[in-house]
Amino acid sequence: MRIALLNGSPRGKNSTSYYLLEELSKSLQHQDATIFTKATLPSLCDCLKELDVLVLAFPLYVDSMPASLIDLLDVIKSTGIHNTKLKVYAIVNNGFYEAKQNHVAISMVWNWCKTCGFQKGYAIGVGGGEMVRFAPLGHGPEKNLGKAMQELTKHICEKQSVIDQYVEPNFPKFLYKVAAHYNWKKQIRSNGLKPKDIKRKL
Amino acid sequence: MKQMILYDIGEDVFPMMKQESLLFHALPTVKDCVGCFSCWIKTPGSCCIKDRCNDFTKELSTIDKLIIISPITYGGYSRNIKAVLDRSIGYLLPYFRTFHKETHHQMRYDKQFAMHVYFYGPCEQDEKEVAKQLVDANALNLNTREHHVHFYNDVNDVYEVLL
Repeated sequence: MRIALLNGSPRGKNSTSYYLLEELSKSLQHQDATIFTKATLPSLCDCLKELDVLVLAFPLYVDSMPASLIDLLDVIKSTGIHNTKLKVYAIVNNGFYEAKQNHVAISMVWNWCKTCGFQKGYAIGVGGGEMVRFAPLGHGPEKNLGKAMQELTKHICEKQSVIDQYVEPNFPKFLYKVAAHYNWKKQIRSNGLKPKDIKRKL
Repeated sequence: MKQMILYDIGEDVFPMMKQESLLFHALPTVKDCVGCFSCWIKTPGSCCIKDRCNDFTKELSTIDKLIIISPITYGGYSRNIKAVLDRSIGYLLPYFRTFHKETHHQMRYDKQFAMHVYFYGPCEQDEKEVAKQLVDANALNLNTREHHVHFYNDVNDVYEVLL
């Protein structure tokens, strides 16, 4: 079985999406799974005809896909290759706590699949994306996500579709907010500015 | 009333409206957001990528109405329109607010604008449904005064309505 993993994050290797694809690639150890990026998209297009599975991973940007990912999807569509055995899965993460806020972006992936003539697998919508790399998958705040990723691995191997899954951190929402606010203040200080500068109006 | 039109086609048509509107043509494609968060923690309110999109966020804070004209693409905006919108998160603060039990960003500016989105091009009903949900979500996150979504088969029909 040939599996392609496409990183749709503008942050490249330094992204939650790439991290999740790497983890997925590890757990798909006996499969031929390669991570593709914008730079290697031509080779993905070259093997599109033979692919069995495509997994997209991307962050939520302004309630949908990052523009750079729409670009990649346009390129794949423009090849005109209707590989009807290709099954598409997606992992979409956002910085808000609620995983459901990814649902529009996920619907857009399915619209793209339909346009291209690919099969719909299913998606994992991940809330609290900024926390994903705080703990190993399956542990602490990432307990639920680890389980969802394990199930995804299994479903990919069997080319199964289930309903879209929405996963939030095993961590209280109010603390996520407190931690985020603390973190922004810490970061602005490290840039030599004061917390009040965050609210600057132009 | 100050309005801005964000569009990606028909350069010949819109200059007619230049006196009353700010025009932002999404072509050639502006540079993509790189997700660096500089607009929140390094140069608050403004994007660190220096190109013609740099003032877009600031302009959003001055308008009463934002008109977006985009080909419908998988139930959303085209790649070119989306590149401009992705660069606009400095319009918001990184801090969270809770609205109807959901997390959204706090606003940097007090002024609110109305958002009118005109999607054009042939599309199926499910694409329209997704596009409506997308604009609803945008409106909530951008804290707009009001928002409307319209669908037209042909971009010329949009121009006819607007001109």
